[in-house]
Amino acid sequence: MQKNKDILHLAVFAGEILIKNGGEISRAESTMRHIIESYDIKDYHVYVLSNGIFANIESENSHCCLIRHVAFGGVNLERIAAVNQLSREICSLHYTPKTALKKMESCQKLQNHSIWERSFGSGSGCAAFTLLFGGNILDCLFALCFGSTIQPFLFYCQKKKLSRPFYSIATSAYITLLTILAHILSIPIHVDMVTIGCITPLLPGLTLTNSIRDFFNGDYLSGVIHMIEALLTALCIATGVGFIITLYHSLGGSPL
Amino acid sequence: MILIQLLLSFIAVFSFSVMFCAPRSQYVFCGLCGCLSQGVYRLLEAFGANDMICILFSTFSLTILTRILSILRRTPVTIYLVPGVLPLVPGAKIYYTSYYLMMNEAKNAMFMGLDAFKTAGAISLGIIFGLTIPMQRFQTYVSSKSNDCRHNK
Repeated sequence: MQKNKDILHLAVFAGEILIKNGGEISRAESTMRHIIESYDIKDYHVYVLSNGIFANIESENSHCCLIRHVAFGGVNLERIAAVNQLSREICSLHYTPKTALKKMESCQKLQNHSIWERSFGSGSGCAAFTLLFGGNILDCLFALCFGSTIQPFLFYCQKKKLSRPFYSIATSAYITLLTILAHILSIPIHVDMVTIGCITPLLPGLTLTNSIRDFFNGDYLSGVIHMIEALLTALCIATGVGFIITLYHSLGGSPL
Repeated sequence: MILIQLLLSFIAVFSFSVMFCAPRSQYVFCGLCGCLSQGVYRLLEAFGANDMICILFSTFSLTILTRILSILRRTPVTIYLVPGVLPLVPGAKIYYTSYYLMMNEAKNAMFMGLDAFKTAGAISLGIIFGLTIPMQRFQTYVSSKSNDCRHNK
């Protein structure tokens, strides 16, 4: 009885980490299945949605059931890889549920990379994209500066517990504002190139791929939810950019 | 010229994998994925293919490469696919849609918006085609070389 409960806890915990950090639904489901089956349990059900997990194990004298609400918590691919590795170890090495749960907690505790590292990553990514889209070296330098400030800005928004659509709007508006300010100061940058480069980290690449993979695996409901999220994010980015451009023009700015 | 572009996309995807907190040992492979998708895109473009065809085939080859890498390196596909697909997501088209909309150029805005939609569709089709290619044999071949490998996809 207690053992079943522990196994269920372990499996749901694994699924929770996967969904929270940007894994797709079928991965969470199959990982949970593999974990439960590795303890020789035949009678179980697992149902995963994009923001919830339902699982139960039935045995002759007892049922245990677990429901979890999972909120999306930001992307961390390292945790996904760690859970994947751990579930493989559980299948092959047959840990006891208690040991496995301890190891799963250490997966959960894997820290995000430091804010400096991520800032530098987003900055150099933005700079490279600006060059790819046809900007010159000056554009690239500005994109590097502006792009590095995106992560601290997002971090600040998350700390203030703003809603996700709002901080997509806020961040894209902030980027456009910075580039237009540089343009007003008559620095000869291409406003469109720098802005396009700098909004790339905000683009809904993760939700788009996840929604496609959900559709592909037959999880239509979660696929639709992710697809709507991706569309909404794209719309929010467009709104943020458009807002600042309109403001600039209505204040009588010269054409970009 | 194309070498510079390949290098740039390598740097871009490498940096984004840092941003998404990918495991440190996978950075270079993420970068390689970006390199491949950019290479395929430019190659098809040089042959004069339609923009959508370029995107379709580059996501297709990207997905295949991520699956091969995930089997060889025993990591989930997600880790390579998420940063790798970012260069293809139509950021520029979203920007121009909003820009033209604000400039009261409805015709251009609609054209760009539709293009962005088409690009997203091409990406989805590319990923789906890439995922449907059966690779069971390759997987069993690799896992027979090493020992265990139960759920790798």
